[in-house]
Amino acid sequence: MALTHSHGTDAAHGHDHPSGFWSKYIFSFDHKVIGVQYLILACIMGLIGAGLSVWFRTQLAWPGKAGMSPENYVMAVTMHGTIMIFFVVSLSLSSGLGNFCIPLQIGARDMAYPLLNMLSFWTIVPGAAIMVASFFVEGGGAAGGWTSYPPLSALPKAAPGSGTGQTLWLLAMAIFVVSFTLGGLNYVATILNLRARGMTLMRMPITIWTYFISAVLGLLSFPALTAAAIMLLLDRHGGTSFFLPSKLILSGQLQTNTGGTPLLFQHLFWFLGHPEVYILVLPAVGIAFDVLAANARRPVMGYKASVFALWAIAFLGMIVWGHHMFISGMNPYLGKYFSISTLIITAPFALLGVCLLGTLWRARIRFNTPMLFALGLISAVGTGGIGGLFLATATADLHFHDTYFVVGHFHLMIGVTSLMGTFAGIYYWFPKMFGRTMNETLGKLHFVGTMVGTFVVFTVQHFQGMGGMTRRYYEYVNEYVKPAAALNPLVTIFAFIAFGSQLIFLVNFFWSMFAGAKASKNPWEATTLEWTAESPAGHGNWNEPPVVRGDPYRYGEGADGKGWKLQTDA
Amino acid sequence: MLMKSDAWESRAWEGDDLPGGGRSEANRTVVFLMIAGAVMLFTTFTASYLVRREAAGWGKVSLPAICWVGTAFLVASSVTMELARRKTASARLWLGTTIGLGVLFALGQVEAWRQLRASGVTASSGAHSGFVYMLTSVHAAHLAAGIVVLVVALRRAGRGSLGGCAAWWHFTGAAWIWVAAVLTVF
Repeated sequence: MALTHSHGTDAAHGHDHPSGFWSKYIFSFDHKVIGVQYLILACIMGLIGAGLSVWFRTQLAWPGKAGMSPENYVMAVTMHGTIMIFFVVSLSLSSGLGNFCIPLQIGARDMAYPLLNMLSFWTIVPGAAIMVASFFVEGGGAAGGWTSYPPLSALPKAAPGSGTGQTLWLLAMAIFVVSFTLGGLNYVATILNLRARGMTLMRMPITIWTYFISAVLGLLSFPALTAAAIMLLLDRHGGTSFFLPSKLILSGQLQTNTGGTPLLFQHLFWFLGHPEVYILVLPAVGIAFDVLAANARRPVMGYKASVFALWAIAFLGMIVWGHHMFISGMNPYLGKYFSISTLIITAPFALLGVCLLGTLWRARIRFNTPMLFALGLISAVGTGGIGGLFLATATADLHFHDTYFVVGHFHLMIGVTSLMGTFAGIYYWFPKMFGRTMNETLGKLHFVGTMVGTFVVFTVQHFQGMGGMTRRYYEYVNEYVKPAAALNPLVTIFAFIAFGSQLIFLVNFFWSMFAGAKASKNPWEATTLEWTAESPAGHGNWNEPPVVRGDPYRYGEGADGKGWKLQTDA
Repeated sequence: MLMKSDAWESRAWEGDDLPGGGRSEANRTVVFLMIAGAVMLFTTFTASYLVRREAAGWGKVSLPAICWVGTAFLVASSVTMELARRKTASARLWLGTTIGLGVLFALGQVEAWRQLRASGVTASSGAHSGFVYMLTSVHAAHLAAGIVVLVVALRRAGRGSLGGCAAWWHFTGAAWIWVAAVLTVF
């Protein structure tokens, strides 16, 4: 059996190079291979998820020309949201880059539980397959929104996608939660217990802090979704009334459910849903810190303040979920609490922003592709964050709720910010993954297309939302909304540009894997621990245990005008 | 498969000067995190319970008496688990007793469900009965995981600490008292 293939003699040397194709590339225990596997799976799911958006954007710009029924439309937006959040951003940023970076940056040989790590990946594969398969069952995929609010999600006959499609959606999400939780346990155990000699907590790169914090957030908030999903499944298939209210009429028939409360589901969903934003955004910010420091050739400004701000954001992120539900029915005093606590998040976020920008102060910046994406991330956090101020204010949210203002805002945060960080990380660590660098020209083209495309799409959507354009509509026919809806062709054209740019990335990624220019051990002259390992590093990362002797960002140090020092240097 | 994993674990860096304590400390971290996650799960159910009981169709039922016998078994099993952890020489005996008591509790649960069913109480007959079946089942799943872990620990008794197993087992006991108290008091 390929899995038990063992190299006893290699073990003594530290490097373990499984020689069989299956044990090396498919059922590998190596965190770096597993990280790349996640990235490739995310690429495939990204094509599907983003492809859906191209389809429904076509419908929005030129109604009736996309070969799309209203049922297709709601299914496409539901599945686009689900796939992009859970199977693209989570898998690429959290699982993919997280797996790749964590042991390398803390000086461990692998994750604490390599077998569990492999199982996490091979658990998510059937999850992704089930999610995709749900398109092809009777009635199509889930269509009740990525939030899966009951009763649409709880009554199998409520809408075409509420039947088998919704069941498969729940199953795939359950698999995702199991896989992600196992991954989170591994992350925390690895970071807490497996750090190399000298790698104290306050010497960890900020990337590691963000993965640590987001794993803790995930472990504390996903159980709420698990509980909600169990109750939803019982409502769907066990005849209970946790979320299904009395006197519900479906196709002219009175349902037998009594007393359930759909609002409860919303609370439970957003108790996960809001921390999930930070689970995905924080690691992107962490990666940006590393990339900024390396290319500004300056230590991160306010390392301790940033770590403090990250923890503050994580804590506040867990107690503000209600701001997603201002108009769902809420005691005004409670609304005030959620408003104020949400606005307080601005403070630590502003602190992070200052530290990000301060790192650039008087720097001689190297404008390579990872750096451009890191700078793009700062812009996306800032632009998206401003919209958040309006949405956090309950009174303003009464108008903005469920409009394209919200769509534009959260895409800038959870979409553009996360993906900018992901791309910065992929371009930055690609040499460590494959021993080759990605093509710079294609990379810059990818950046410009992504930056221009996404910013036009999502900033314009803010204005469309202010103009009263509500989300989840198949077509805008009312007179009052026509001026806002007239911008749809423009938005769609730039959405195509953004999508097309990702194709450039995919070509670059797979082409460079085999034909990119050979990279040295430390092509960016960076200081953190992963750059002391070979490019690419074998299974086990180092032959000798690395010993950490300094802070992660030792730029501006070093003798002979070199101007930087590795974390392992004396 | 497991062989390879074990081989890997032994190849992580070792030494007293590792700032995080090394691989041997990781199990403790994981058990702690799992308990934290499970606490969040039961907290969510409890919060949902408190919200839902205010609405129509609550129809409270009481737990069958056998559940309280089961509670006694679980409390006793926590004591024997502690003995297993502290008295290395007779660890196997006490571990075996703990597993036995756990299985007895589980059998008691099955009997409790049977009695509830026989008296016409199903998951869909009322909101409270839905919670009764759901919470006891979710707890039973956590207990079953604990029994599996203890069986593994029994097979390798004498090697390594039982601290993690004990922490999880005490947690399932505490979670049961929590669940039973919520279902009875509110």
